[in-house]
Amino acid sequence: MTTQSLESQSEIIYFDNSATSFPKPNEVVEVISKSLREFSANPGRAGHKLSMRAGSEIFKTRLNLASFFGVSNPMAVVFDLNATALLNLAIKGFAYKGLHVITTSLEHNSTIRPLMRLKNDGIINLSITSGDEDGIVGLKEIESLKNSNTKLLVINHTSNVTGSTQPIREICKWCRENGIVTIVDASQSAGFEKIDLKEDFIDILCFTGHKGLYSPMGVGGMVLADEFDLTLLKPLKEGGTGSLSEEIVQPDFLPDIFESGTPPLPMIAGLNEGLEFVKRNYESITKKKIELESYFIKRAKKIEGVELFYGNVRNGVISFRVKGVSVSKITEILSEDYGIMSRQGLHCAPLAHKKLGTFPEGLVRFSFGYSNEIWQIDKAIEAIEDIERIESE
Amino acid sequence: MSSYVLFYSSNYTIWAENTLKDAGVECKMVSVPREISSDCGYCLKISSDKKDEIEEILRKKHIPIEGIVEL
Repeated sequence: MTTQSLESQSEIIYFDNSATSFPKPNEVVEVISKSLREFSANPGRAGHKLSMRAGSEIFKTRLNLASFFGVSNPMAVVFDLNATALLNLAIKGFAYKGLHVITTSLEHNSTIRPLMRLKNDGIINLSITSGDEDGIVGLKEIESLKNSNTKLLVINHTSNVTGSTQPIREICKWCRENGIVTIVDASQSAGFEKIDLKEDFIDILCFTGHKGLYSPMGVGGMVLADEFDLTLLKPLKEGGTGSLSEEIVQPDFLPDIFESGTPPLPMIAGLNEGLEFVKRNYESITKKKIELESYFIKRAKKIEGVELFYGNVRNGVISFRVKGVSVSKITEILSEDYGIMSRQGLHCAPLAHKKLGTFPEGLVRFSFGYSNEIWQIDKAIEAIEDIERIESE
Repeated sequence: MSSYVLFYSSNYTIWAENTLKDAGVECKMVSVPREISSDCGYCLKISSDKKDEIEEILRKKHIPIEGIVEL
């Protein structure tokens, strides 16, 4: 594996990969630079060679993602700015008056806020599952919340606070059998958990590129199951698509129905390279995240006054707090005195923190990535020991 | 004699080109001739005697064709 190493980064320990993965692989940086130098024409908007080349790069990415997520139609991969944009499209594009939606207590604001908007506007009715102590949902609970108007389930695959992962195959299978469409938020899991829309019975998958797929910020995707009925989803924006230009209404076919405006070609090319990076290094990234998280847990458990919050030890995501010290103080000391980048607060997931009993103060989160090393965990442990000792004096 | 295979979107033109090349069938992505359409995108130029074979390959892949025009 190669990493982007710059002089200025030598003092930085980056433990904020759940917010965005960093540094990006060299191959990603190279292809973005190459696209800007060699083929960043407007894709699909003109009949010249460079536009065709640009369009082909985007197609290549669609094809790669379709295969990676287990769908046969590459046009069923839709690009937009990020997971938030696509989750808004999936949720609001599906919603109709009287719809009952089930969602979970581990949702990020990117799903719960659009859902609450629809609820408060009197369009949908909403039920939020409690789950077990980690927020993991069981079928019995979903079944108990279902009524005759329940036609949509919105579920966060992996929590960005604790790394807890929902059993989506079991849940989505049951939903499929019961006529309930599923929207899976794979922001934290795409590129890390194996996801196959066919085998997992998922109808709509939304993901972002810049976390586990190592693209730059600025591109995310929505993937629709091969059997998904497109008439169930309305576009939220309309505009130029480079297709059927003589028509003044939006095309009704994929992906043009949802993709208006010039797409971010360099970011999409970066996403394709990021995906290639994941495919080449999947096993080693997974192994490393488990190793780093397990080692951190083992050492942090021994520090008095430290309380840890984690689900299944797989995703390299762990949150904690130190008795008597505010989370903002901890992250400030980690950053200023030790060069450790962490994320404090509610992680845009207030429901998850209410579930954990850590609302409104929140927690400090470490999220490890492929470029982190054991010595960095040692340094973080020393830092937390210092913070605990000095602040409790 | 050449024919032009038209698609509803350049996304499909690229998909079709990719599919045909994978199948070893010759085709070339070109601007849509103005005699055919006012659309601003591209289409596939093929040899007319390959028309039936190409239609069959694209049909199997569920790639919709807008039309095939011989010029």
